[in-house]
Amino acid sequence: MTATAERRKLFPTLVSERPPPLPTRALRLVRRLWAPRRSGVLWLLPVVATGALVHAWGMDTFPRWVDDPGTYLSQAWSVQYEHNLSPYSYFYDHAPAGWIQIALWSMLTRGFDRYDSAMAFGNECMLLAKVASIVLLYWLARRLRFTRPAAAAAALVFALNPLALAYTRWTFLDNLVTPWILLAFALAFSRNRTLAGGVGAGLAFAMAALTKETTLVFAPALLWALMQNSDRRNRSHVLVMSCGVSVLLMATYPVYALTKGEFFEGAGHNSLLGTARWQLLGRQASGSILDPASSVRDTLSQWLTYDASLVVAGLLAVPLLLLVARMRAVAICLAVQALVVARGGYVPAMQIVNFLPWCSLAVLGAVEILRGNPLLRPVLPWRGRRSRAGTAAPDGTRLLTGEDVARLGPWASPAAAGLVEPVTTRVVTVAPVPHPRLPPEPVPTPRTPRPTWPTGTIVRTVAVLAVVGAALVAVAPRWTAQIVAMSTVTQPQELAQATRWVADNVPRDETLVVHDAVWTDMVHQYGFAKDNVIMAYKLDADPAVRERLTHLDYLVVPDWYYTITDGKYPTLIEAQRHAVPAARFGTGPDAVTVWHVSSRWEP
Amino acid sequence: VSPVARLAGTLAALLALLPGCAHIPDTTLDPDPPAVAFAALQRPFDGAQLTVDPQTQAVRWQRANGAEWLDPITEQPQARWLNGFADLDALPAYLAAARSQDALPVVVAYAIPNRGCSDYREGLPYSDLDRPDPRPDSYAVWISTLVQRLGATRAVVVLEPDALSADCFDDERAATLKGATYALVAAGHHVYIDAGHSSWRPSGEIAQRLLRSGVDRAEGFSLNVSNRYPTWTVADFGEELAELIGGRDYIVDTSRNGSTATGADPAFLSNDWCNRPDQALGAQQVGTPDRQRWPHLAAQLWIKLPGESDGNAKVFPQQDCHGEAAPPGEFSPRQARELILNDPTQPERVLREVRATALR
Repeated sequence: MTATAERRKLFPTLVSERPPPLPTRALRLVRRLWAPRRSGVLWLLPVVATGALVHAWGMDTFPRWVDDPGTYLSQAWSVQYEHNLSPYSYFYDHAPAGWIQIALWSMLTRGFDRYDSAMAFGNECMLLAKVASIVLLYWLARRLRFTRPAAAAAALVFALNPLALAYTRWTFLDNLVTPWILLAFALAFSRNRTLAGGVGAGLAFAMAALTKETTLVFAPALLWALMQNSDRRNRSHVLVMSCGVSVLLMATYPVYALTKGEFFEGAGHNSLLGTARWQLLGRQASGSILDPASSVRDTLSQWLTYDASLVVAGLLAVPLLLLVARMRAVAICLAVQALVVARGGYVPAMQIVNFLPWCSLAVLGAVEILRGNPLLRPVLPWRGRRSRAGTAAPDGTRLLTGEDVARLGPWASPAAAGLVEPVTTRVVTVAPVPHPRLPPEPVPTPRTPRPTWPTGTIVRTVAVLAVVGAALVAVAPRWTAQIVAMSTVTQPQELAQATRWVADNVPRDETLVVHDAVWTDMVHQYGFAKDNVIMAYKLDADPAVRERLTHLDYLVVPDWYYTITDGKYPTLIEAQRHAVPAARFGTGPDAVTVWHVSSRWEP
Repeated sequence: VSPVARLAGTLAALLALLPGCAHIPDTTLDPDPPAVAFAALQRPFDGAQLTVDPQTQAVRWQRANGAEWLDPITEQPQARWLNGFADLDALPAYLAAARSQDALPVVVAYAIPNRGCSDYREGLPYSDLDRPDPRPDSYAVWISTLVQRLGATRAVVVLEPDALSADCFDDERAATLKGATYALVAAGHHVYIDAGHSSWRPSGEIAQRLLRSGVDRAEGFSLNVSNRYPTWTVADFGEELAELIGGRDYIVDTSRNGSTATGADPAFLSNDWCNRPDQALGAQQVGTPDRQRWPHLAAQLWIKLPGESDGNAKVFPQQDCHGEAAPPGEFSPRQARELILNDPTQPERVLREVRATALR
């Protein structure tokens, strides 16, 4: 008898078994990871599949190509092929992480080579971001203590909302911010309140801010979430560490500018501070939201033509969310975004992207609160603070007694165990440790009391379900019609047609002025020299372009450019006065006319 | 497998991947096909003589007054203006002169309906005084009569000065010009549609109007008719315009643009619609003086007849018109004298002779 076998006989519980073979262990690990997540994945998968399908179906033809996606894609192209942050001199218009991520994906998958157009590759990136956002939205909703159906519903609302569908299809930096910011909040609401959660939240937030600097307005909400969720015992540690790493990561941006000598303003060079001043103060303000003639009202009505219900319902839910501790961060996010739009400064069209995930969380959160999710109880100011479920244990956690379990009803059942903090489960199932040498006594498993549904809960649930049903009936036909419309556009992109025409008909040594959306295609797909393809707004904005400009041959921008009279495109408009139309695609202000400029004309 | 073989295999695999990774842009596509099919250029001015008109007002005045000092004007080739049916009757004499000089006749068609955009009685059908009832198709009739009168003599036709650049240019006028152009070209004549001048409208707008008016079959366009802009500004504009319409040629009216007093501002003389005392005769030349800079300049010639008045204070009541008395279109010896005197290319002998002549 070997020593081990003898010891095993003497101390059966102290000597470990021979470890099982690797495949078995791997299988066990998979099972251990899978088992608690199985029902979550089963809820989430159909939502992700639906969201991805609806997003992808028709994203080539809707929405119309606009300029910002083209700018970001050209900058991603420059990162990949020129190792620069922009094909023109980078002027700190936005922090660069957004298009660096796009460039990384392209480097891994040869993204710019896989499609006829860079815009199609941008669409693919947005599809990936959308899928990530849906998953992370579900995850965050669960961490906000939504039930699985409610979390899935929140993700579904985000996936199917027509307003979200339109704006998340465009290659905007804000759509790359969404997954990072959702990740940051999900980690901030870490279940175990660990340091890793806090640090992860800080890093994810820094990535969001480096993707688009406007994300910084979410900082107070994230800080609130971290404070609220942190444990008294490691609160200071978590806060210092997460803020520290976050600031460190974000600092790479100003440090980059400093090393290039472009941090402070100065004559003859771009600067981070200069552009920041322009973005914050110098840009034409969009006017007051109360003024019907202001451009912010234009933007607003543009948003609301797709759908008003989600944003309105989300904003209406804010006061209710403020009453529930766990939902306050969401309320703060929405309130801050509403302030950004209402403050009277410059409001870009893609600003709405920052509302959408929070609106769907707010709406479903309100439903959860009203329906009586016991983990999302409102603290009514006039009724004082409600006692928390369970009693305090010496280690600072709370123990659920049988009475608590009875009060919580189905929420305390094993099926809902995921909702209850793990410590409590441990305490409930605690049993006396048997003497090592005695054979283990059969411990009678404590009978969990049968969950009961109090009458009040039932009535409330029915009422809320009726309201939700009514809202669905009201909203579903319009959303369906919008989604069908967005998925079945047959008109090809005018700019794509014009690009194809230029590719087929214009010699490669001609100088083109193009819309941002087709710049990358002209250079990458069709072999025009980079310096001969000029983005329309760079004509007047970039001194380096002006300097080397001797003549122009073709103009490829939508017709509405020539109606901009506020002096943004003076050279373009003057060039068109010395040109004849060579080809025209589409109708109305979005039609694209290819103008042949007399090369004898000197800009 | 030896390490060397393994390394070679890896390298081979990497090399095979390279062409796939390297991006080779497609540059084999077709170059610019013309969207408009332009007719081949005839180049009528190549090596051509221009016709000296024996019947201008200046010639008649010279004969009546024995004014030999007018020779610098009367001995030079000039265009023949046709304002209505009556002028067509006098055309055969001019064509006969052209044939006898073995020279190229240049006529100006100037009878389009509502010619000046402000008075509908200008131009055909109202200028057609021979006919009792105005006919809507009288311009087409007039053009076909013109074709008939020109007969076998191939002529250069300057089509309707100012009609294309005018504010009242519309689809109807474009169709009128196109019909006239096509009819004249079909008969073998060389049409230059008038395109105004360099300071009127941007080249893009003029180019689009020319394309609507049948420039695809015309020989090209004319510039500066009856204006006084220096040739170089007009020709720079002409090149800019020519490139937009398939490289058509153009001709420039230099009858009164020889002044050096204009300096850097060519608008200085032209904005004065009266007969400014400081304008001068310009140089006539067939072909381009600078093949690099103005490859499409076919000729500099006198289209407006120098000495014919632009108008007097009666016509332009807001201006004193420098004391000019002759009504528009009538010969003004005073203006003719100034045109010669201000021309720096005239020999000193001629200038002395002109200075010695006192006008009554």
